[in-house]
Amino acid sequence: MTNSAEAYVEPIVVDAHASANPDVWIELSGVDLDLPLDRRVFGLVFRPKIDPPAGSRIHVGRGGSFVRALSDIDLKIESGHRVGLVGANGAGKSTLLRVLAKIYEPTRGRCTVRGRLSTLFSSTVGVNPNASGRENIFLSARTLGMSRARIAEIEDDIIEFADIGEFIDLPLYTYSSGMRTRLGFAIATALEPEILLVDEVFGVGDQDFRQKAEARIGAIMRSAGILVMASHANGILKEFCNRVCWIDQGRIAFYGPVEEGLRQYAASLKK
Amino acid sequence: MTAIAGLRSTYSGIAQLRGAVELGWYDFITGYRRSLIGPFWVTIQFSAWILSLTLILHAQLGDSLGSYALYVAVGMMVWEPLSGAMAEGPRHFSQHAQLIQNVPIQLSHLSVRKLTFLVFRAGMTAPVLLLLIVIFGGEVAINLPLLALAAVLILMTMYAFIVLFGFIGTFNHDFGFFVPAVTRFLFFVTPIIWQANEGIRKTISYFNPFSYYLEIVRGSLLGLPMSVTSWIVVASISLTGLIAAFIVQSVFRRSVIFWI
Repeated sequence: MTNSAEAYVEPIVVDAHASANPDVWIELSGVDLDLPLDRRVFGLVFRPKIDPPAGSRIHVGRGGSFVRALSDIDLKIESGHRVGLVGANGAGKSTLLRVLAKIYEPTRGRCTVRGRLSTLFSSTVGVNPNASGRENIFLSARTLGMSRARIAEIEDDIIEFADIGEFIDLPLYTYSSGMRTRLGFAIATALEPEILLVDEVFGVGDQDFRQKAEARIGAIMRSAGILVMASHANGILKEFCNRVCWIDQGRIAFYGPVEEGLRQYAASLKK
Repeated sequence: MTAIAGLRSTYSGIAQLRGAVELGWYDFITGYRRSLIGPFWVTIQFSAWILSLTLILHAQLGDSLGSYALYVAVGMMVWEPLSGAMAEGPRHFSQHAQLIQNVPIQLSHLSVRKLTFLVFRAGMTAPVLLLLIVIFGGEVAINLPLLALAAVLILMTMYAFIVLFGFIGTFNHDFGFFVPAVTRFLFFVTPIIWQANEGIRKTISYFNPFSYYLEIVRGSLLGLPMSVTSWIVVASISLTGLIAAFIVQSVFRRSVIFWI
């Protein structure tokens, strides 16, 4: 079992479509992340009553109680790497993705990200139920920091992909939940990132749309310099990733080839 | 490091200012989508409020109908956005919880968005004031440069309220319930519907910072007496509030995700 990214030296076969860019990379060095369970301000701790069992990841200290969500993470991801994050629920996959996205700031250690980064953590970010589908394209894209010119360029593509017909000019509250998801997904994936972070977003819409969605994500993943995705679906990981990072209780338990990583992870589940 | 990160965050928020303003406008306008007359409900509500206060109180306070209507309308126009910033501030990070948890968004971006929303809402009350000026404003002496300066100071204060109350309200959810109770109290101890000319009223007004906001706007817009002290008090509060907002944003911006 490999304990850190540094220990793995076997060359990785990079996808033929990937464009290796030396200016695009991610490096985590000694990263710990504590998720506070209480609220602190200027040294005052507002503490809930917590009595953690022995061996728990919940710690109670003078500075307050917290969950050690990530512990001593060392990881270097370079252009062309497509990393699948695996691990049990609560292991720290989504937390690691949010550290990479700069949503969480490490408690200790450093996280350096170089490259244009996009996240695909939710397919309904920033939508407004009273605005029309077309307006929601504008609102969501603006929220994601896109320029007006860029939005004008991608609008038709989003509308075509969402395939919701004349509903595009009706308010979102008239949409079915499936239609909302289709539009949200189309907006969220209308990106050209150098680094793409994906958190379990494949279960969208009906069978037809799911195939369409998978094809679209596949295209984005192939054009992105770096992909980091959390998933429980081995088929998807094998299709899109060229290495696996198994997270166990907030630590990297394995980082290396996909087949070997999935095998070790599966073996750990049988124990 | 915290200050640099805070500056970077603020710069990032300013760089996306136009986007935040557009989103604030949509927040405002889409809130009325299912209504027939839309945001003009704000104008109607404001008119009804001014009309009822004027009819009931002008005689008691010994003022003419026109001058009292103008006095109250200007007072309300200042009070509404300030109290709006206090009331909406504590909730505004929680309202965008999904965004904060899923997108690396700058919190200053969300605060500017809320400020824009409140400015547009306040703007819908302007027609009432204009109408009153046209009808009763024979003696009105508008000083536009001072009025613009007063508006900037009010915007600074509103932004400070949104940010500071946003952090406090996200940290302690009771704060969001506490603020409306306080603003109701503040409404009655601020010379919005009464004049701070003598006795206890003068004392209350002296110790109430909002009185000075009202004074500089009434002075700039209606030509009522105003002192340099009032400008100094307002400028000091606005600047201190803005600095405090910047410090709080720098220190606690990464904690908000754990609090919402």
